[in-house]
Amino acid sequence: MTVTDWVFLAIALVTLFSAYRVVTTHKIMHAALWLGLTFVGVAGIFLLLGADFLAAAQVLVYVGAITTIIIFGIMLSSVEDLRGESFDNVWKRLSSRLTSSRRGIWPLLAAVGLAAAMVIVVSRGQWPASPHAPALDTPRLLGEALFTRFVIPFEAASIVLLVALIGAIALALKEERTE
Amino acid sequence: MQQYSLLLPEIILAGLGLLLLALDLTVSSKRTLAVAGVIGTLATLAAVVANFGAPATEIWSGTIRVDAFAQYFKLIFAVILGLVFLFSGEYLERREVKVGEFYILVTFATLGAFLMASSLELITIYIGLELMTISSYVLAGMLRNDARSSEASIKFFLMGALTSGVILYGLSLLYGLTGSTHLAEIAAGLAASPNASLITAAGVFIIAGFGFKIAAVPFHMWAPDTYEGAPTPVSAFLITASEAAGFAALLRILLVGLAPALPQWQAVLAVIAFVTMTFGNVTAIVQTRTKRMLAYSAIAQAGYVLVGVAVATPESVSAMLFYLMVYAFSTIGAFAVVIMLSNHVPSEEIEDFKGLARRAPAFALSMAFLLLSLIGVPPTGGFFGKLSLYRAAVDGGMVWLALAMVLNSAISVPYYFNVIRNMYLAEGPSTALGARPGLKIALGISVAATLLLGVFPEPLVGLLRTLHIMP
Repeated sequence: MTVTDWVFLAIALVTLFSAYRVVTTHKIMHAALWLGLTFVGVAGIFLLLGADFLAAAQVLVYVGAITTIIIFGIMLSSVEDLRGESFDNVWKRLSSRLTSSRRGIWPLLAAVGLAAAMVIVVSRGQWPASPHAPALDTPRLLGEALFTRFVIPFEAASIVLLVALIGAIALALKEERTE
Repeated sequence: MQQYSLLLPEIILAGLGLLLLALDLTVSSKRTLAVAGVIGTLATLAAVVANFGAPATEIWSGTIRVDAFAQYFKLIFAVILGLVFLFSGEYLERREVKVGEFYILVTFATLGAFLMASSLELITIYIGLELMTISSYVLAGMLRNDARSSEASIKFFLMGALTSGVILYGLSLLYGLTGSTHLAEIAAGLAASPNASLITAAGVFIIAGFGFKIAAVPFHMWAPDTYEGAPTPVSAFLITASEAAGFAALLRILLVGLAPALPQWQAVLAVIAFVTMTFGNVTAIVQTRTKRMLAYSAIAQAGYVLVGVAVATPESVSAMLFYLMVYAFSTIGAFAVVIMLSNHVPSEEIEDFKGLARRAPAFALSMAFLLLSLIGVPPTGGFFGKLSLYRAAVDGGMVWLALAMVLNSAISVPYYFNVIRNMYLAEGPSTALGARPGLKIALGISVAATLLLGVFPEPLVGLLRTLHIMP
């Protein structure tokens, strides 16, 4: 294994673990912070792949903006901590999880099974021999691709954002009573 | 310039969405929005039909493909959109749904469906899928004072987000193997690729992901709750347009992109089709709520359509496209009657149909006719559609699947007939019911189209024979 492989492994583990904590932690504020760490991990993977612009955008947009907005949202709303039993003792928590079949064993078995199957499949596969050498000016390449070859999906993505905006307002805005 | 003229349907539809957005702010009468919507849909339809004769071409560097297959699906989507504009008004006002936002979102959802059907390029297909589903999540939750509508929306959103991830994972494997996001290049790359197990993995993820989108068993768990809880016009849209768009994308990906690996999938798809139709029909029998019954019926119908995908011959594909058209008209028409009824009786139980034959004879007769089409009784379009699906299955060597379809049609008789029995034989209240002209027109179009497709199927069958999904 090269150094890059080790770095990838470390970043991937951090990303996976923090993503796992997002859905298992009982405090919603902790979940938001773990989510931020997950985004940082993804940015690290982008960086490792030579996609420096994407990594920067990931940090700016996801870590900087989205996590912050989620935290603002939590602080402004009266969301209490998530329901569910919480044990301070890690082992107690672990054993209570594992004994509940719906929330413990079956999801775990499914996840491990899928991961094992994918590791076997991917390791047996032959990927195309030479990945592209990391480009030096990714912003230019990205911009060119978005505005030439992929201009239609790019425009459609802007409509997706518009729809998300309208939808969020339609669902969240308080009804104004006209009577 | 050809780039723009061939893209005209999408351009008009996007313009219509933006126009409705502006009109919603400036015009106080909500009926104006519906009228503008119908006119815009007619313009879109005209643009779609005008492109029908054009030779199959790829424009915008391969991200948009204009061929008869795409135009046919766009025809279905645009017709459904027009009918939704026609029949929703009264329901939306009575249930205090935000009318403007509803029309805008349903227009953009249709635009997403257009993109899904008219591309061989995975990123465009995926963005179209997201455009359609994100609009649908909001639409499903638009009954804000109804907890079931919120439940419908949140379930749909969670399952939808998960399945989008599953689909993306499958697509990313295809990209990793072939270095291309274009289905024709992917097919060429896969034919030369020695990675049978990786291709299998990609296929599993893609079929599972789109299985969720078209509500095939065992990926259907969100569907009954979502279809029941969503506002009724939205249920109608999801069951018809959204499902048809899922089939369009699935057909393209399986029959073009994964074509080299297709034989290994046919048995799996056949089993999914069999389980889906049987589960849907058996569960529909015990339902007492109208929309839930129609939701399970929709699952069963998706199973019939899947037969066309599983057999995967040119005949089965054209039979399935024919069936999708008939199914869209029959279901939308049936939903028009359900909407009419729930405008007067909000409970939405099958019991509410009692005595409808005296309260609104024309509606009862239309409903009976449309349900017969869903069962597959002549002279409806449903009969001819099912017949061509049987024939394609037998010719394609899947006789057991054809038999299963026949048996399932028999199983489906009781629950459809239960509605007819309630309408004609049971005693009920006797106050006459009426509806706005828009709903009547929508119902009339649906019944007329279902009848025409049953009596004169030849023109459409002839058109479908000339239509090729392969590039």
